[in-house]
Amino acid sequence: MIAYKFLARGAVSPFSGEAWPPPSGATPGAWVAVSGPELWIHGCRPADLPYWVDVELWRVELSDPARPIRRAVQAERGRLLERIEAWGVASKRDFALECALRTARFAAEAFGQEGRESEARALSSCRTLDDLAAAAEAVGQEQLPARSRQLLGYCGDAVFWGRPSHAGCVSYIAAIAAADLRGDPAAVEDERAWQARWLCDRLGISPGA
Amino acid sequence: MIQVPGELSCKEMVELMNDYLEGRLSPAELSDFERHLVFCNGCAEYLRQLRQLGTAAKRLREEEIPESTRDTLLEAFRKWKRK
Repeated sequence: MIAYKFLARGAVSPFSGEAWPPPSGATPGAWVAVSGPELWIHGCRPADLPYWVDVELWRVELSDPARPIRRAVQAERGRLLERIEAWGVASKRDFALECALRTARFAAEAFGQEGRESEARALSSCRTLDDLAAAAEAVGQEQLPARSRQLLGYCGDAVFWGRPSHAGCVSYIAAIAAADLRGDPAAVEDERAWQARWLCDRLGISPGA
Repeated sequence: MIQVPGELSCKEMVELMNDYLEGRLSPAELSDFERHLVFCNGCAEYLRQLRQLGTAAKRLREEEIPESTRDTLLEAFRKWKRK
């Protein structure tokens, strides 16, 4: 099965610290297996991508049969096929920014529903992290309903983690903000699906691949 | 903050840290645990510190600890047990 895998710099597993053998030209990297009962090689389907973002993204081959689990697929062996070069500093920064701005729009929607039109406009018109920081700071916190205060707090968090392009964190913040706005944990799934579509579009990955 | 079903909280993560380090999590728990590390700097940092502590502790031999340090540590452990 062809899948995707986020790795730390240098094709290193972010969790085990093990380096993956890189491909050489068109020749895939060596197969990697994990020894031990109930230990597996993990990969992502396109819809799983937002949950695992890291520095490098690779197209990988997983040995058959690959088994779907929550937010990933697992197999006995895997090997690197090619690095997705479109995922790099710029796309990671842009993804973090998009997620921060989505968080701002969720906050704006809450403010709008509460009749606070000027704050809603200020938040929804943000285009940069600096805009968002300024708009969030300008909102008086006194007498804010709990939901708006919470969503405004997420805007601050999104700016804080967006500045170092911590895309894993900002995308999570946006998903939680969506759920808080709707008061429904299922909104996390919808927001993550939106993020997966953004990543697939930007990286040239077929969503059904 | 809204609780998302199937997502571990930081409190649950802390409870699972040792099992993770000792390879005792089920495949599903392992995936949930590592997914949390992607977005949570606090838990990732705590795990890094635990790993560092484990590595340092393995290198340390009892006879290398100065007597005064050992006494201070033992006293601290005794007090901690009484709490």
